[in-house]
Amino acid sequence: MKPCVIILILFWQCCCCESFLNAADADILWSRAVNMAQQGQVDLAFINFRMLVDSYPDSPKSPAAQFGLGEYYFLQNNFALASQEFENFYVKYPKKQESVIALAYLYKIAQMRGQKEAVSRYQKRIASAHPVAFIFKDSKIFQYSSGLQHKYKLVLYIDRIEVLVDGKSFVKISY
Amino acid sequence: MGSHLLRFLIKCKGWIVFIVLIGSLVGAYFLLLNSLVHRFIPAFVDLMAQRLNVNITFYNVHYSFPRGIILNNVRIFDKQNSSGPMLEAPQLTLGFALPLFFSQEKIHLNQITLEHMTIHATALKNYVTHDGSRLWKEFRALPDADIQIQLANTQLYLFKSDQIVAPIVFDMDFEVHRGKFIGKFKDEHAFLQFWGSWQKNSGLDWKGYMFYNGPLAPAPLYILDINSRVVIRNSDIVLEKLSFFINGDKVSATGHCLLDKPYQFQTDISYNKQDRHVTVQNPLRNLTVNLYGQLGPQVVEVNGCLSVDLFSNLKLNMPLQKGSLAFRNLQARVINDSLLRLKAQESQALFWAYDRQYKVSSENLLASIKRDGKAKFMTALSMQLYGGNYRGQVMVDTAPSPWQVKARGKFNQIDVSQLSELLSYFKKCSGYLSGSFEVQGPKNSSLTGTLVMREGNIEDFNVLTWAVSKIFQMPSLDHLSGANLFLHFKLDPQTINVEDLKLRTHDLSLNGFFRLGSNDLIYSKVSILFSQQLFNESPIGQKVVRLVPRAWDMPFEFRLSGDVHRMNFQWDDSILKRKVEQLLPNFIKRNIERRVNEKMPI
Repeated sequence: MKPCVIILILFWQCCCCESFLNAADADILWSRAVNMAQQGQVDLAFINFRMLVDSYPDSPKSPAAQFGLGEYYFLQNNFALASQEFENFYVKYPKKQESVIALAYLYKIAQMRGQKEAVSRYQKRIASAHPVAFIFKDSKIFQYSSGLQHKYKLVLYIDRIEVLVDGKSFVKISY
Repeated sequence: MGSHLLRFLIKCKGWIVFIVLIGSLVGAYFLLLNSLVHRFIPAFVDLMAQRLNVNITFYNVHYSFPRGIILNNVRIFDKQNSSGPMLEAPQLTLGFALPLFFSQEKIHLNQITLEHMTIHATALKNYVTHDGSRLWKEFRALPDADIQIQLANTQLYLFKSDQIVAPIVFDMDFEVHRGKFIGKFKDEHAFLQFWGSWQKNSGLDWKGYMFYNGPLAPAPLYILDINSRVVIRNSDIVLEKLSFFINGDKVSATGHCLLDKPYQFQTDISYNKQDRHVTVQNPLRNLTVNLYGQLGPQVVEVNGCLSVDLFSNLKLNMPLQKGSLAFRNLQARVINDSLLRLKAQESQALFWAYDRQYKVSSENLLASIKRDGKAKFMTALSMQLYGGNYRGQVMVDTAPSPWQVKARGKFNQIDVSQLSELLSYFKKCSGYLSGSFEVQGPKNSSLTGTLVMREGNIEDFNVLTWAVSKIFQMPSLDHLSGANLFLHFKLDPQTINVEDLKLRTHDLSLNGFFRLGSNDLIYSKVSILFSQQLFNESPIGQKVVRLVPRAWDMPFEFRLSGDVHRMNFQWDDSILKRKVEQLLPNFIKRNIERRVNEKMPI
């Protein structure tokens, strides 16, 4: 009896260790990516984000990594892939506040590419993403720091949103 | 010399005698012929005039070799109408076979030639209207004989000659030989060639083709592969089939017409365009017409239906998809070449736009359609519809492609409860609407106007009253009775704009505007005064009243925006809001803000 119990306990501990180790791997990838970003090595940060999203999709860091992928492609002017990543982000995490920022990116890309239908579609999605009521306030602010170390400020008004990146106006969308 | 001649003549005396004899014989026959012509033709003409119930006059008649019998200054009058001749010709030539005349002493007509004939269509139409059956009977009684008819430089006056309208000048040749015929028609703008066969007991089969390039068509018309079968009986004509291609697009028709009064008819016509010919500039896909009615002396009375199927593209500003117009007891009267009057007892228009069906029904429609220049048509229109009436004007410009339509009008006392078949907005409303509108399309299409409703009952009328009811939790706002409503509206394919909206009921005074885009994005600003009773009905109102006594005397100003199904809300600055803000501590304001946002969306 005793040997069986010992074997069972050892087996259970191995399982716990594996999930612990997986979480640790995801955190390691995330920390590595953030470090690279802080040092200005965005390409290496991107690689770590990609590994995190592909290998650990259920990790709590996965949404931020997914956002980082879209951000990276946008900064590289690769708008097709940036659109794809931000679409993936919006589809996977529609209830997150940063999904509005992802939609703002998609709106901006469609505007730059002259895609009027896509602009209208994203405008509507932004308008209906997080309905707000202003009773005593005129606006609502949401702040977000991305994996690539950019500071986002999302300002919601009754009839528009404004997105600022690192203090500079990125896009204004009226509806 | 003289003796040579004498000897020559004596030698040839036989021939001379022969020639003199033949000459005398021929001369005698011609004299006889002319004598016959002088006696026979007037009698024949009198007989024809009597049988056709017309008056035929001519100046004189004689025989001219080799042409035939010539009548000069022929004129045919309708006995019942003394205004002028129906037909007149300076010369009518009747050709006949001389050998048959010599052998059988009978005149077999084989050619009729008219040069510079004038046809007065109005007089001719009046004659056909009252004596058409007689004319038809005489035509059917004609023998099956070979004949050729030639009309050269014929002038056709379509309207009374006192109106200065240029006649249509045409040439026509028509030949019948052993039951088969061939013919052609030519004028300044058109050319028609046709051929076929005619059997008295079975009918008329004919084929042909035609070209037209004139003022009645915006572009040259090529009408090819005409194929038709007509059965002609004593009392009626049946068009068993008629088909042709007009610039490559197929047209088919069948029909039936009685030849006795009243001249009742029925016809079905369809026009189908090839897909490659359907464009934004030329959006008609197919057209179907089903008519039955009768022809009167001055007017056509008809019942039927006209349906069109169109190329539709919202991106290119072409929202109209298809339409149909059904009418009962429609009377059409042509006043002159540029004026047509219509009167219809009942009409119903169905049209599809933006994938939705709309219906407009009317009674006692009166319309005058005037042609203004080559391509514009102005229509003055009045009708009764939905319990009220409408009066307005429609202008159609056929010069651009597609045609451009502008209309404006005023409507009065429209029963709102009958409007649900037209606009679902009014599904649960009642009252009476008046107003005016202007509409144009399909290029830059828009509909603008004003709307006034008095003492109406409104339910689910518009997004604003619905939103107000939900925000303030006032269920009685879902049903508004005794409502007076005023607004300006402007609709185009992308947006609905409602400005200067004023809604007054016993409990409510609302002013505002809203704009709704095609992607369901709304922006709206509203100011509302509630009655004390409504204020007390609302949980929010009750709380506000506890803070600010007589809060119902101050308007509530707010805005709505965003997706119409998930709107954002903002309470705008106002005297009431400032009073509430002053009285509430910040933590309570934050609490209210949070709790309200938890209940979003509207």
